[in-house]
Amino acid sequence: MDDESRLIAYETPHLRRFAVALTGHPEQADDLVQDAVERALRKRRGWRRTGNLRSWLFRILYRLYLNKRKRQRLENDRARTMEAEATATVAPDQEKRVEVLNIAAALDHLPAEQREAVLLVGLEGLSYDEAAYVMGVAVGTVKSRLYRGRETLSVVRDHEGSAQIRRVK
Amino acid sequence: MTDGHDDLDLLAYAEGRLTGDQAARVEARLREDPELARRVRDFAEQDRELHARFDRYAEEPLPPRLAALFEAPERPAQAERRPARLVARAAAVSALMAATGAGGWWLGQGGWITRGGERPFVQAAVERYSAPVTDRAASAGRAVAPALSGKLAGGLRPPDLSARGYRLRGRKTVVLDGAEGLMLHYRNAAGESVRVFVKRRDDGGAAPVHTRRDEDVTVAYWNDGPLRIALATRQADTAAVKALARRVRRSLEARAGGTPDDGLWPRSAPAPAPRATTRQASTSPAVSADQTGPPAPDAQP
Repeated sequence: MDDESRLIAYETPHLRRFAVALTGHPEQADDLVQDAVERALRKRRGWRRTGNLRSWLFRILYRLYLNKRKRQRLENDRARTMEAEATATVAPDQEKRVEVLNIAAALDHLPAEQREAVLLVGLEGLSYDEAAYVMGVAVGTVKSRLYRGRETLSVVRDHEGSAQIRRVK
Repeated sequence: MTDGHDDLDLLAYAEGRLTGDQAARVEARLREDPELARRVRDFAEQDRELHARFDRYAEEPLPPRLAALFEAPERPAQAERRPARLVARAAAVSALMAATGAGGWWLGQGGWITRGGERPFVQAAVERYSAPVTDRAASAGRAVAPALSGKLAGGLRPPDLSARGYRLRGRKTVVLDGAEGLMLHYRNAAGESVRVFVKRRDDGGAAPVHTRRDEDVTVAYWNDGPLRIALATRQADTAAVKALARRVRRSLEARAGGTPDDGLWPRSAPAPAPRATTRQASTSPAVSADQTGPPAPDAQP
């Protein structure tokens, strides 16, 4: 395995985490990651050593995701799948279970572009510049989507949290 | 909240992106406005919940079909049809690997632990444990210390210890045993402090996590490829400190895509990666992923 391939392997677990969060469906996420990694391995020599491999990989995956979303309407069943999987998650305590349900459900309330910005920055730790490169938008647009997304998450989490606690009781 | 600029300052503060005077200004506002403080805490809490929900997908071993992608025979790459550029890039890669001191360390082949040469490093960790951290805010998961992350190519991310109640409070470039290193400062709700020290090392070898207690500071230390890592805390419970160290170790290992010797990258050439049976048929993409050309620093929007 050459050095570029090693670097791509190094980033693949994070691509997978992002893909799961993005699609809400681990199996579809692995399809997405497989496509992205295959493409990156084919084109790895095109990656400039001085550039940011991580952003490049996330951009590949994100573009593939946009294409798939248009074709497969992943959004239609995202909420149902995510909720079912979150419910199946065995958490060590009740508080943890409520938390897990909250964030999974709350993400579904965000418009796609806001959810993507929150996941790239909040989950994957990309800088605003990196997220803008991945999404193909201006940095200011990322900040705006991120802020609106976080505001909505705050409101939804409060609401969902109260609802979940009532259900648990 | 007065305008969009202030909103973005709050957001940047919650994400650990503000430093110095900017951070101090926001903190002053937060002290005066409990509602703003609540919102900032909520923003930060969102990230913690996201990690609690999704980190397992980055920490668990890759599914076989993804791992198989890296076991397949060497694929022809586009630039292999451009020998001059290939040579230049190969030279750049070699230089980078030499700088890390252990090419491919992130694959886990370097092992974790080593004996020899650790005493000055551990002593430096003990001495540095009590030093204040005031220079930079930081968030778990974000790239740290450009100097270090550059050498490591993939970018070193601070371990997320929120599952054990510790939040990352700061980071600082420090001198450890005569060389530049990195200090990450974590604190829990009870005010207990844990610091993680990272520096490059030039020797190899492998050994388990060790602990040592010195001057009321317990230090767990180990090696990871080209890095020497120490975790320092006043906790006297050695087992608890080791458990925390293992959490740090797993978090760093997750960046490697698997644990050492997990068979993820065998030398033999296996069959091509199978596709999931639930996979949908592909058609012509609406947006070409080939548009994801190689980025350069100046190519960032």
